[in-house]
Amino acid sequence: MQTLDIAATRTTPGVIYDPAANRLSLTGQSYPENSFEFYGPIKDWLEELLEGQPASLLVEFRLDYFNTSSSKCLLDILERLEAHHQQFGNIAIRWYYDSEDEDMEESGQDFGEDLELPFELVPCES
Amino acid sequence: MHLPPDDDAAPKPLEICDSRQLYRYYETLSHRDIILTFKGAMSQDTLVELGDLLALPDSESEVPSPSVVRKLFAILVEMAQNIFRYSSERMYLRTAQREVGVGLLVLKQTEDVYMLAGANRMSLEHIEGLTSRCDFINSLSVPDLRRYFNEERRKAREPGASGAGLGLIDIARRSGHPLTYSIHSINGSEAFFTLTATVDRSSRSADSALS
Repeated sequence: MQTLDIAATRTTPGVIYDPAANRLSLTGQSYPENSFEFYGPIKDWLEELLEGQPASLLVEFRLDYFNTSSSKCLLDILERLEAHHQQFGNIAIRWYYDSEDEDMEESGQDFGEDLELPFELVPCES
Repeated sequence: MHLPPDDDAAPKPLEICDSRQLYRYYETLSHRDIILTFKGAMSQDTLVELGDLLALPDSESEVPSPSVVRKLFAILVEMAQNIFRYSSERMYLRTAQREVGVGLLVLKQTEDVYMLAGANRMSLEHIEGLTSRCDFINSLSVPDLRRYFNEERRKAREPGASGAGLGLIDIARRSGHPLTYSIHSINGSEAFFTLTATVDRSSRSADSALS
């Protein structure tokens, strides 16, 4: 089974895949110098995972902040997940946000409304 | 794009051995309303350090609410990355092993608002596109701005661009005020471009947290 364990830095999120739980999580902040360089290998990894026909996949976003170019990369990843979901119906997204952070809530709403896959917004106490 | 020639006299060189002159310079940068000034090569590491400074309480003023700090931080990131990528004044940084843009970032507070300015040299040919983009963004309502951001995000990025071209829209959305820009002619091919964003000191969520 494929694993993925990228440690968080000041400007990039921790990205961890737990094969036992079929869960991929992105945690932290995202404003790298070049978002496409950071997210490219993650997209490639995801592509391989999806080609292996996982039984299901839960993707958790636990981000405090992401810049606009990261936002574009997150949409690319979400659209790939949506395409897979439309064929196999086994992907779910959870978008965690600080309940006092209306910008992060709105970002989750915008992603969720644009995509046809289960998308749950989960407010957290700060 | 044509701008009238600049007739300002060149400033006298700053005598950095003269404490009186340097104090005056220091005073300008430490004016009561100025919270933060950075001029130089805008590397990613510098951006991270500047971001940290935003969260620090200023001893002489109240601490901004977390939601206001978040907005200022997001605007700072987009402005700094614009300077990093688009300033026409470039500098090679050995530590970063690459060329980065040089520019100026200033954070100022007034009684009601914070204002963050990002400024850098820019070639005149790029300025026209930038100002018409700012004007268009300023013409949109809040819901239209939200739609426009999502539309632009869906578009493929320009080949070779490291950013997504969404920065200005994001700055306007987080600020909640129109974008302000100003252009100062430097020579026949370049101008000094200043973008200023305003953020209310009491944001929506700060208000709801109090109630």
